[in-house]
Amino acid sequence: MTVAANGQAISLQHVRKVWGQTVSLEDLSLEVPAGSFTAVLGPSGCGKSTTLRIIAGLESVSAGKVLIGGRDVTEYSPAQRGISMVFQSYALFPHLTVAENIVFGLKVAGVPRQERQRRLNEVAELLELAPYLNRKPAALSGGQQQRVALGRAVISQRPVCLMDEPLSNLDARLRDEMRREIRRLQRALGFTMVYVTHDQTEAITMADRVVLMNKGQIEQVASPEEIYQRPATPFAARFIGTPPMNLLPPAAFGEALRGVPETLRIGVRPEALTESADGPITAQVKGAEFLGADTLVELNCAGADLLAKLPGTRSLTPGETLRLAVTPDQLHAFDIAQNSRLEDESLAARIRDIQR
Amino acid sequence: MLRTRGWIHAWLLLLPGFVFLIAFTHLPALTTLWSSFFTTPRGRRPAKWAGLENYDTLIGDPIFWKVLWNNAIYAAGTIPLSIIIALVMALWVNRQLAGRGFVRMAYFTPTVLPMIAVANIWMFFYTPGFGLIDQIGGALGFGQTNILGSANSALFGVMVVTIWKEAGFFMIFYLAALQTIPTSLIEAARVEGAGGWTIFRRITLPLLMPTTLFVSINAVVNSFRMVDHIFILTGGGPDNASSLLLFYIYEVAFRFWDTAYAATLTVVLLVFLMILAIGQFFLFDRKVHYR
Ligand SMILES: Nc1ncnc2c1ncn2[C@@H]1O[C@H](COP(=O)(O)OP(=O)(O)O)[C@@H](O)[C@H]1O
Ligand SMILES: [Mg+2]
Repeated sequence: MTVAANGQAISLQHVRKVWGQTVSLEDLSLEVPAGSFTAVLGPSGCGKSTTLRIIAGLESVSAGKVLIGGRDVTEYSPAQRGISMVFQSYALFPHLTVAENIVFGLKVAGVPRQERQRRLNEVAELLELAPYLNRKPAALSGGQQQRVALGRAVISQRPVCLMDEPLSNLDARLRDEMRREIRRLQRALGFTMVYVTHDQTEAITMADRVVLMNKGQIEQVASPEEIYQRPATPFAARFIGTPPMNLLPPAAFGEALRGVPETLRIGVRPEALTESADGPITAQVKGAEFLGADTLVELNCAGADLLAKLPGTRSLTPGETLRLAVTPDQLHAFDIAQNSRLEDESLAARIRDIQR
Repeated sequence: MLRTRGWIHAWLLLLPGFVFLIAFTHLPALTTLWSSFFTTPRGRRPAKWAGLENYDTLIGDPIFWKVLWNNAIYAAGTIPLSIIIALVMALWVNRQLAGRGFVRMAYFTPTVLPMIAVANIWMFFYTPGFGLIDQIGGALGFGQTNILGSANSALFGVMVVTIWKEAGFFMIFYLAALQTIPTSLIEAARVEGAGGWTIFRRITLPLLMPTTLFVSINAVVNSFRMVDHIFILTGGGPDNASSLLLFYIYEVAFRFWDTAYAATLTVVLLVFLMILAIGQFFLFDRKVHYR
């Protein structure tokens, strides 16, 4: 499109949302920079949709404030907030044609017919919808319906676009395609995107920033790289990356970590472990799973489960003992009592010493 | 071979239904048509071929034209109003309001009551002097009324009862239809800037069209079919002012025992219903979106 919408920043300030006894969001504060692609990621039921709907104005807050573009919009209706939205079910109007669906908002806003037609043509071209403009949604495939929903969201050129798991009804191949398409659209038009998903691949491949949520609270806000390389909490460590990161008790490192608090956990990604005759981790094989290029080995280490992704094909018998090593910069330390990452230099040094 | 067996199977399954449908609907309709070409058998005089004589009588019968006109007023007055009231009640009851279950049940009550009982309740409202209407009117200083007893207002008195009864019934259909409309559609429309009225006109109403079609066909048929309350309220009077086609057919057949003429009137009624139902279907069908 010719005119790029300029994104607006979104700010949630101490937002709380309760339904009767259910606390859905607890003291949630979040800054979404203007023009960014922000993914809200988390397991089912953690409050992602609630967060998005509060930004949209489809739910009211129990406490706290919502700001869009610096304006306090807490009491505004969805229409007054300058947002567009793509629903998980697409929410296309079944009795209207594709064209009527897309220009619905423009028509409501009283945009003249010629202008509507011009913008419709642009959007149809952008999303390759031209051949289907006169069809009803029921006569479209899932991917095409998704594009119509995108078209309806972008035609008004509103500064903020909200999406709630828009790809979850598509098959895997189409999902990859739409992922790139949505990303391209957001770059081209420049609006601020808040994208809700429970799929870490989507969040990591599409977003500039990932907001990781758990149980109605934010665990971490970071770039995809940072959230993978420096997870801020044990939850973040285990949620991002497949297979999930191992969180080992100090005992797994034998005598070397004697005296550290029992709430300490050492995080090691399965792919960071290598086999080494003098490695500090000793573990018994429980089973192995062949993944093609690698072998995923399930082990038991000082009573804790441990996963290791070893290159190549390995034939391992249950009960066999393996010694594993890891480079020190691939280690993470967490305190499970404080639910936080530890940046303790002395601890880091001790772990480094074991490696020698 | 296998296909033939499939067909036989299908027909056998349909057979019991067909037998009853033909025996109790189609055959009587044809017999009625047949009887309308004969005279009424009286005492030892058997029915004689009469050709179109009965239809001649019908065209010259002022009471027939009177009840037909009454029926037209009755239909025009009750159908749109009961549908609109039903829709408004359904929209109202569909909202998140406290005591929603109770309100729904309250609106639905007229539907579960038999028409005769409904008529008796309204008798109590309408009774001149000490009916509810006159008691309230009297307290406010109005004079006594006789709605059912005067030729000018009897038909309207009957129509009000019909609307009261039908609206609750149709509301149930609208309520069921409203609940199948996904809330995300309404939310999407709100995000796109549509207000309550626009959402109703551009989203809700079109999506309710199949229900409106169904309900309006029912309403049309009922406007020719529901006469139970006339027996209680007015008996068709005064001077046929509140008589409808079906009530007149009843009178001709079972009061005056002119069965051939009653058959002729019935044929006219059937033709009317058929034309209306078919016409409505084609008229609406183009505008209805079926999911
Ligand atoms: N309308 C509602 N009424 C009551 N509880 C709700 C409602 N919507 C969501 N919740 C609750 O709020 C929590 C978060 O829900 P949601 O935001 O939909 O999660 P997510 O989108 O992350 O799966 C859940 O525990 C859910 O049961
Ligand atoms: Mg959700």
